[in-house]
Amino acid sequence: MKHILMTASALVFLVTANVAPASAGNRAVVDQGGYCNGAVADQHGKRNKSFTYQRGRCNMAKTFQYGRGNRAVTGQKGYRNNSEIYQQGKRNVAGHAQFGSRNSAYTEQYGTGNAAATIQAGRGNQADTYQSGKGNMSIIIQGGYN
Amino acid sequence: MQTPLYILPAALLLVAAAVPLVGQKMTAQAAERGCEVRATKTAGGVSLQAVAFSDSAGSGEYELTVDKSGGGGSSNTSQGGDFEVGSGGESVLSEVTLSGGGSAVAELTVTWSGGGTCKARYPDSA
Repeated sequence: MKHILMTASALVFLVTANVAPASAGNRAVVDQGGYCNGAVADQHGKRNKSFTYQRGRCNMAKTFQYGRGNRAVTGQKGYRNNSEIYQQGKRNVAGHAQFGSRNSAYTEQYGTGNAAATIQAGRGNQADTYQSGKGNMSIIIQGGYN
Repeated sequence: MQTPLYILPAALLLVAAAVPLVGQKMTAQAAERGCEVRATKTAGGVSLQAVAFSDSAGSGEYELTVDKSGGGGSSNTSQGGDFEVGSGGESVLSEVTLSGGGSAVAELTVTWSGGGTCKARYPDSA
């Protein structure tokens, strides 16, 4: 399942990737499994990257990015997980991939050329996207399964 | 000289006809700047484009909200910002693609600089 989760997250990233490869920048990767874990990635500057993977339930992931060329990907599997991505600047990208029930994903982007994609598989999921600027694009894929 | 009786109904007809003519002109003026939500059906979903068009160069602000329910969950999308349109052209303001079943309702509001507002919906009957 982890493979599927990471693959889906990579897919989200590819869908949203509209920026040139970063030539330099910080990178934060968080991989958590269990119950009610929390992960916060707070990045400032240019060309930062952040990838967060969580398995279990009641997990929370928040990513804050300011600047240009940032990107964020969050993958979650389980029940009642929450993912939030806040981006400000130009050419940022964002992605959520959630598998399970009653998960929620929130994306907030300000700037030019931002893009966001959310993939949720399960029941009762919620996705909210707020974008301000030019050329914004949002893709939301939600599918239920038993 | 006595005015023929047929002149009166003829004059009334002309006055009555002038009303829709004026209305059409206003519609034509409004059509010089407009907006719409273009929808393209996809497998299991819909792709929406917020579009503003103008016969003359213009600019303004827009806000698009898309609410989806059903399928694997619900989603709310809000997009907005400034835009510019060249003379006789159009501008795709934003895009929202939804998949996974359910139904979506979109509302677009375009406020032109210098005055004028355009509203569009998807579906049209929403």
